[in-house]
Amino acid sequence: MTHTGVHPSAAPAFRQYDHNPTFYDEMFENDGSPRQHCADILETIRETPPDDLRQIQERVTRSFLHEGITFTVYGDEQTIERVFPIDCLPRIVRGDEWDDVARGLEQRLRALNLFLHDIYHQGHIIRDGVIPAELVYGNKHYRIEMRGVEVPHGAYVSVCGTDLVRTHDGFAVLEDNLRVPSGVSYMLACRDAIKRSMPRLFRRSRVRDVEQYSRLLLETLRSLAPPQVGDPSIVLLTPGVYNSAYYEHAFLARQMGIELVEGRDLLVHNRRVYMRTTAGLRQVDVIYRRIDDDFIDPVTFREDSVLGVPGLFHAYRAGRVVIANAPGTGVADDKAVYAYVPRIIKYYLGEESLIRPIPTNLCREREGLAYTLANLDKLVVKMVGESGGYGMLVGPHASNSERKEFAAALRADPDNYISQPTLALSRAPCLVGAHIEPRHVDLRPFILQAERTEIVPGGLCRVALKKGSLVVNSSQGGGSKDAWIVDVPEAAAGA
Amino acid sequence: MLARVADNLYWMSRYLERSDQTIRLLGVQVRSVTDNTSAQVAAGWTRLFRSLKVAPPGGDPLYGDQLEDSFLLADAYTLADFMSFEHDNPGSMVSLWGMSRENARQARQEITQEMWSQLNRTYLSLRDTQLHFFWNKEPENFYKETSAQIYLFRGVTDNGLRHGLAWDFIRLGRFMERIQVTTEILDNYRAALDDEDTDLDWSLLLRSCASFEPYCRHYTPEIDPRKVMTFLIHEPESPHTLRFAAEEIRNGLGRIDPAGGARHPLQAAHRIAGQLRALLAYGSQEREDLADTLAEVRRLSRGLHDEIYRRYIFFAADQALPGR
Repeated sequence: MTHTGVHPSAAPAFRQYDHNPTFYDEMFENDGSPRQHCADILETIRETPPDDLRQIQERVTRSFLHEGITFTVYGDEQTIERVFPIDCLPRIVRGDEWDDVARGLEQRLRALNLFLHDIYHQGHIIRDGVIPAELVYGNKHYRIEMRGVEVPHGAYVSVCGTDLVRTHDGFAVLEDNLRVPSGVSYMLACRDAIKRSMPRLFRRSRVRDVEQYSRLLLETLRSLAPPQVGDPSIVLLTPGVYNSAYYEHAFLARQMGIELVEGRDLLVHNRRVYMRTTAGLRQVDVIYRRIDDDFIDPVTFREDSVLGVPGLFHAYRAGRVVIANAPGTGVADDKAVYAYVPRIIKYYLGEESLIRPIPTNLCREREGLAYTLANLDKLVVKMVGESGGYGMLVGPHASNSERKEFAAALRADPDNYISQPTLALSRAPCLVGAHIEPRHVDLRPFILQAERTEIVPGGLCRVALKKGSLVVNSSQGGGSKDAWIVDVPEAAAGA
Repeated sequence: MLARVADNLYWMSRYLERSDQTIRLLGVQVRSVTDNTSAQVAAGWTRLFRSLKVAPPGGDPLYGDQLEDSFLLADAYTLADFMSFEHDNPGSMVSLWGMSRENARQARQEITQEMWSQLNRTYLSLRDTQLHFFWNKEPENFYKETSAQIYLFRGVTDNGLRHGLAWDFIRLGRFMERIQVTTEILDNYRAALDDEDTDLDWSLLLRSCASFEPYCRHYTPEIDPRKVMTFLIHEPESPHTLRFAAEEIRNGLGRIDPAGGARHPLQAAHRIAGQLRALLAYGSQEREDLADTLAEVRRLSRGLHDEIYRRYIFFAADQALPGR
């Protein structure tokens, strides 16, 4: 490995940069020299005075505020609109590495869609003993109402957002989001802002485009429409303006030129779905829904829901309207089912998983429980049905008494837990005040699947802006940065 | 377009127009402090609150007749602050702007990024402004500059948004609000027309209705109270007259629903819009009929609003299935 450029610690902004080989650094090799494909970009960042970088960051933040790319925090006195923090330094991923990841994501979603079709029909995988029946049928996200329903192209999940993390061993899937994944608008808005702020660097870096996402999403939704419908009427169903992802809903609707509807805009008559327009009722063919299963239809699911449309599920079952993603996909992104995904891929496709799974111990299995209890100080233990960091023990960070308490809970109800090794998440350089410091990052690419599979090269890159923190959620001090998939010219790659 | 979104666009526009009227009235009032006697200024505040149908701070909205008393307790700074920045006053400039923005937010898919950005940016800056920042410097300029932000929004709208249904409902909202507020402003000046002793500065009325220059072009800078009234009611080419608003409303409805205005029987909304326009185009211009004319404009415009809602927003679903 040859050093390119000056050692980064020579630049003032990098003086406090902590090169810690425990963690994979997205920009630097273990010895602190820049990675080959980052060298040019790093050189430019190094030459930019930190003040200029800070100004870029402020400009991006201000433009987000003006464009309304905010999430709302509801307080007692007043509601505050906050901007999702943006770090202006891009995270760089090499094109060939990305291609491998994309193949793996495509494979994974194909297998999960086959799995969903199977468990809502004959259930071969269960009869063949690959996955325990209670894990599927006992899952709270399993929708008995979906049994026997035919889904166009078998695409139960047509929009997926998969959380990837990276360690020294490469990319791994942290979790699949198969219900109503969000964040794609941040990816697009972030790209737009960074392009405007760093046009020259961007152009020079041969970054792959993500702008076609909205067009691909629209094509995906169109291909789901009943074949007899010539020009399908497609809508995006939002819970409304108080939802934290409302900006994204409006953004996507605008980009695709489709109506953004709320439950109260729709009604079902004679098992057909209509929206109320100024020129009367108009039939709807495809609903890209951004509300949870529970709230889709108060007649079929939660009767106290005011967000949904009474009778919608009947229209769906009758094949008069398509709902994407289909109801009942949550069963496949369950934390316990996660452990079976490599086996699911093998079962349906006869292939090995292309993306490395994180070794997962199922506490429902005796060895899994024993191993978990013996290594509580090293593992992350998660409750199966929970999400968003609830019901979780991070072994290395927990106190003795917390571990003891958790062990008791584990023994009492082992079926409800899984455990995984604590991962050394990769880090990427971030602008922190006047300095550049490493922070932990993850990556959520978006996969579209219907007639074809489409993955835009990039994703939402989340950053744990708090020093040392592994939590990337926006509610807990997380931010985001632009993810650049760059193609390295042959000559340079071989150097 | 979704009926709910048409509702949002209509109100986005109405609130913004109301905000525009409020800002202009405040600008005129602040200016009159430098030009007029204190009695005139006090009368001006009364007219302002009455025209906008807002109860002054401490005043009880249910006891309109005691309005004057309330003004004895409040100074210009308090009144201007109340109408500009008081979040608890739904009629204040910043509240109206906030309502407009909330409606815009729920209609984001129909408006352009530039429209939203202009509305949002101005709101955020108004929200962070306080009266004392400029009160002792150049208050009139502040109101003028804020007014300019509304003109900018309209320019961005007219030049960026497709002139389709969304644009029509935005325009409809603007002129519905304009005709209603302007009617109230005119009504509050009407009494002074018969008062021989009044020293009322009628140019204030023209400025309140953004019509000083058009009036001077049409007549002369000599301000004749009766001509001012006639001009603001019947003149067809100045954008802030009642007649102009009525023409816009009628034409707008014609674009939104061409069949409703052409075929017999006419839609109720189209019929009322036609009556309104006819009243202002061909109705009496005699002074003794002025009160009746204004009352009729008020009645018709309220009825029109209700009919628009019945027809396009809150219609019964079984009457509106496709193919009927």
